[in-house]
Amino acid sequence: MSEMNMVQAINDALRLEMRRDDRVVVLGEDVGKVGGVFRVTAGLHEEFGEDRVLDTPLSEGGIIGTAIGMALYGLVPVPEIQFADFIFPGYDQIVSELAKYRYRSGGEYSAKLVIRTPVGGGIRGGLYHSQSPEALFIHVAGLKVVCPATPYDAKGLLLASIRDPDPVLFFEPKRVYRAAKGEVPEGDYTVEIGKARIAREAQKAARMVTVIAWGAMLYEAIAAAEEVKKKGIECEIVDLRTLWPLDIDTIVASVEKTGRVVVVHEAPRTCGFGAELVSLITERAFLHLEAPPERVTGFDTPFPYTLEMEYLPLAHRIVPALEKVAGF
Amino acid sequence: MHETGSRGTSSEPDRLLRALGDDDSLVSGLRVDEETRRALFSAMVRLRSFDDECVALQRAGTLPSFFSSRLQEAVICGAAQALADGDAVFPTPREYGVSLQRGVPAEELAAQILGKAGGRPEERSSKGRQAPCYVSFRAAKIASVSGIIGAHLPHAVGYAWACRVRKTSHVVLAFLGDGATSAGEFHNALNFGGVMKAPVLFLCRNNGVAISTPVARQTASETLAEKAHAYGIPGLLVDGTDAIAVYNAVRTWVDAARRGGGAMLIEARTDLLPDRDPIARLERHLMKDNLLSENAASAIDAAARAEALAAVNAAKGRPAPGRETLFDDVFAVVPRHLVSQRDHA
Repeated sequence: MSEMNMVQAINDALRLEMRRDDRVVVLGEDVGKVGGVFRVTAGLHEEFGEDRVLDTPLSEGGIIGTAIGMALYGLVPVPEIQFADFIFPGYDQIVSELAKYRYRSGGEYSAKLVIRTPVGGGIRGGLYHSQSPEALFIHVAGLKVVCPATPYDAKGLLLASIRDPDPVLFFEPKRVYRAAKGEVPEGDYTVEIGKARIAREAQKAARMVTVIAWGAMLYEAIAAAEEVKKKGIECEIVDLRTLWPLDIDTIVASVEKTGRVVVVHEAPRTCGFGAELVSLITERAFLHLEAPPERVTGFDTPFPYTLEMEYLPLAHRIVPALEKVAGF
Repeated sequence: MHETGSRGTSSEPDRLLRALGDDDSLVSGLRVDEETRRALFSAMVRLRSFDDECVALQRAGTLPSFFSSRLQEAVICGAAQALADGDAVFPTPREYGVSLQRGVPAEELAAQILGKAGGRPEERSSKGRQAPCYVSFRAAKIASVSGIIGAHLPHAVGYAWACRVRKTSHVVLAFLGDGATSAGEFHNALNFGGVMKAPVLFLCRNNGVAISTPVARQTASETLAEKAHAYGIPGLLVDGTDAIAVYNAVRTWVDAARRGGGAMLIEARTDLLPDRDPIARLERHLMKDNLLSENAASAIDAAARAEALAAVNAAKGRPAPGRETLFDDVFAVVPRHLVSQRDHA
């Protein structure tokens, strides 16, 4: 075990898997000699050479499209999209090609990629370096969507994603790239895709709330939980880790225990993943609910530059929602 | 070979790369072996016969849509003839017929076009998922056809790059129509293909029109082949109704690519000559060179028509895929939410 931040943990996972499996290749804008704008791929070009770590032309459609071709051949490409906001020029390749390749070929082919991309706001990135587009991928049949919040999960989930037979969107919460630190095993281990984690257990109390969060917002949920604990509200925090396929059992078990739920995400509110979560919870745990579920989310606006801390669903916005459901 | 210059090539027919002259003889100095020339004819007749059967199915209402390859056979068959087994093909729906030349039984092709279930476990691709002509034959190294124009072109680049870095001598052929040259992925593919020095050939069938839109509304450039130059790869204009010319152009590229050569764009014009039927043209040539008799031509045609009819009839008799298969292959293993939708919806 050694303490790592998230950047180091992801770098460690990539290096480990590239040593273990020579089919794994990394490609993207500036991922080679420079090691990526966030340094996540640092040192890989040096160790594995330009046939395994490619600096590509500046086109996300070209990056995803050529990576699909490599995957059809039998390689295991791990393309990086420099910011999740830049994924849309490659969105057609993901939606129309990557997600559908196995299905449309009757299971003959699979185009297995892990698309790594930094996600979320809070780094003064403005409209085009801050967004959280996860729902737009969950809605597409055929993709798995992962978003770790801790270095341990980042390494274990990335190794699991690379070994998974299906295409994976791997969202890395860049606001906590270096802020999130923790013990990370040095060798090989995986964290199972599709399994949520109880990041904080609610102590038995009169007023309990389940908080569902992922990525950087996990830490806001923890801060809010500390705050309301002073007022006698106990929070159980579910860190989804994998957004799709969803670990609905862990969510339902927690809601059955607490009777209240608040979902937190950075993405805009309308048709955000919170809408689906609330819908599923209502379908499966309606009779256990003591209060209408609440969502604390980004607004239905583009992501703002100067006012980003107003936009983000930070702890000070989560606290009133917790009090509201607890006091219903 | 008339490679395009910096000012592009003329679109006059006599500036095209041709193998057959106006008198149906091979142009002087060109040598293409007899076996290849005969094989090209048989392949084109076989494809035309299959295509005719499918057009009949469309007219009868059995097929809701169909991408006929009529008059495009010289490009499809000429190019396929120049490849080896380990090479890969990334087609559009219009080149569904490339599968016949790559060893796919006509009945399997017909089954996919008719949306039928697979007959044997290894025929996994026949699950009725895609509309007619959006075929997929992995064993024949034919990629799954996309409905998004041009989307497959970067795939061909990545696959070809993988062939190269894995130290094989295999090459990749990607087909496209003239309309696809307007799509962003055409740019991506030629740009990446050039930079990555991938052994990929972009073979553009230019019949002068995409559905209703003429090439002049697709591009202001004089030819499509000249677009190659901006990407640092060679471009070539070839007569797309001359199967021997197409074969020769593709074969020349293939030989160079196996020795380490990179990407290339070939534009095959299929709309220029007054006699646009590539089969009639090759037939006249073979008869003139005494490589084909009237009787032999009739026999080839009869055998092809019999094969196509039998294939379509056999495929028609296959069952439609079962409802439960709708949920397969979205993921490698059917996940819980799909099990639920399958079993309870």
